[in-house]
Amino acid sequence: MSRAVLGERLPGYVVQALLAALVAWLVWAAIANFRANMHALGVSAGFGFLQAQAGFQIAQSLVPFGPASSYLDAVIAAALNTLLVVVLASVLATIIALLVAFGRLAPHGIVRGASTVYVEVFRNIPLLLQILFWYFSAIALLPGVGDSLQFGGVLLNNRGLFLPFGADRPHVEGFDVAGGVAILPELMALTLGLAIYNSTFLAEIFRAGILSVPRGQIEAATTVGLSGARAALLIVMPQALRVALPAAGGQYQTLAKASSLAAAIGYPDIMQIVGGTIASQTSQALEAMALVVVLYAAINLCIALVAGIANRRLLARPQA
Amino acid sequence: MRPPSMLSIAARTFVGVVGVVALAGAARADVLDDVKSHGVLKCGVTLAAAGFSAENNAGKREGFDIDLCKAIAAAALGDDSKIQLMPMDLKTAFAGLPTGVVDVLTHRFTWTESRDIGGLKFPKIMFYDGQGFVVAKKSKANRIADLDNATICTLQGSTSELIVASYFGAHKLKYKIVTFASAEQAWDAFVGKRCDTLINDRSGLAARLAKLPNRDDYKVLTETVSNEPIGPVVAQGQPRWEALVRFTLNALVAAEELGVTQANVDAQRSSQNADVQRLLGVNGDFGTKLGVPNDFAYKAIKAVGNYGDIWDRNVGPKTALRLERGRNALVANGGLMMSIPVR
Repeated sequence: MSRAVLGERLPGYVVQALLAALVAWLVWAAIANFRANMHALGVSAGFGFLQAQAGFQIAQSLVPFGPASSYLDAVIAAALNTLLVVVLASVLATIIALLVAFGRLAPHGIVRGASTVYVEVFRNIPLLLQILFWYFSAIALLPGVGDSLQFGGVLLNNRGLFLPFGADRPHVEGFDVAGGVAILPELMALTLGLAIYNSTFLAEIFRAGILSVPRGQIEAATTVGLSGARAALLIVMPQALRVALPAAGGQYQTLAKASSLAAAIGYPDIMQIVGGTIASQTSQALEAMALVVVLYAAINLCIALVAGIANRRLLARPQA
Repeated sequence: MRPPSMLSIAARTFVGVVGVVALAGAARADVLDDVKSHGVLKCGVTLAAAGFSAENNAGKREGFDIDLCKAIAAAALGDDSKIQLMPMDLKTAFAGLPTGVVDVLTHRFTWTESRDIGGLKFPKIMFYDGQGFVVAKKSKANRIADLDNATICTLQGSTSELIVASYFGAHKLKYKIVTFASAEQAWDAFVGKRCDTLINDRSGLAARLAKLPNRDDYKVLTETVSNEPIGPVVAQGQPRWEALVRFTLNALVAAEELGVTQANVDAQRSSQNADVQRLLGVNGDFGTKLGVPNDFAYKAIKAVGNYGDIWDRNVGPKTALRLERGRNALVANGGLMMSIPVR
């Protein structure tokens, strides 16, 4: 009796129940084995260390953070930094991708050619290389603190872009710039690298979506007197998004995961603070790595959730 | 093609999950037995640090840390060529030791209380280091106090981060810190003027400066802001292995104290000095008690020389690093380095 025949004779729910039991047992065995091994090695497992004082500084934090803050505060600050760069890069990537997608379909040969070159160049260079390129060229090209470029109240130098914040104007003070809001070169380079690289994939996804809209739709829009831009926005995009969204959602998840390359250029994200600094200083490498895994999974599940909701809304609309 | 049946899906899932469980693996029974049965010693080493662990022009990795790995292989397996060098960064190194990816780290890690309690054991200090700051001479900083408001580059997860926080905090100095996953990128950012200064072990700074064509444009501030006892690391709960590593390293220092060198170690086997006889295994049964042949220390010294030989060959005044022995001189010469008595 072949396996396939056996599978067909057993009722489906029996096989499923057996499978579920097997998986549950294996997971339990793996966890028990892990705990026993950690105990045998004398490694104290657990997340109690999160309450202890961290004692280090973080270059950029959206919440107040100092050496007296706890490791948990550091985890939160790092997670917010990752979210910040993911949001900034996603927005920028989407804007670039839409322009490039329409550019690749433009009637003008130069626009089409330039868009194609953009996609082919930035899609085919490894992302890490691009991030390092933007970072080290930014450092090399921008002037030192003493020779800061000044536009109104804004200061630009190799320590970052400093914007006035209310009455708090940035000014050079010794080695550094004091006052204002600082945008670090690490954030700039990472946002740029992630946005440009992922915009090439998004552009192709959007282009496929646009191409899926029947030509008759555009012709009809022109007939009723809509201009090119209004036709694109009101008629083409809503239908194109319906096709593009599932694939685009996956691309935003890729972007979020790739943001962990931040560690290479010193941007204080989850990978760097939790997987690097905290793991080494507490020696709780496995717990810290587990936290990193959980945080990235949570961020990506949120993106999947948002994409899913948006997709359902688009599908719920009546077909144009 | 027919869709796969439920059972074949189940079978594949089972294989996958069993793989995961197997990877979780059993705790290592005994590292020394493992090393002997594999016939090779797996050493975690620094990715690249001139003089300590770096590839030479022939693409072969050599340096102070590599010699320590060779010494342990010579002691455990009788052959210093039976090593597998695994360049690792800090993250993978600390996770790799308890899981058995490596047998020993002959890395540049500082012995700290939290690391020790956390399950990492440092059998013997082989390098007394301290951290210092490097600055461009143009910056006109002469003391650490001149670094108020400075931006500091360093390696993420290193002890440097905590040292900066406590030192600058205690001296009421303000600073910004940028930390990098690799020492290369931290150094590139400093040389690229992203930071005003970079903090690292003084040995690490010497290794970096050794590779700069314009090394005289930089200087290391004279103040040393920490004590960094550095040595190989083994996993906790392996007393036999820890002892073998400790007394192999110890033999290198004892050899220098007793005047046994790589050049004269064969002749020294017929020495009438009882200390030398015990060290080289001519008398006594220390090796047997450690689980290796009695001449394990002889093999180690024959392979890489004594502590001074290793120093001079890799990092000494005649190398690009130009490091004086300083704190690492033998106690008899005013330093801190001494052996545990071989008796």
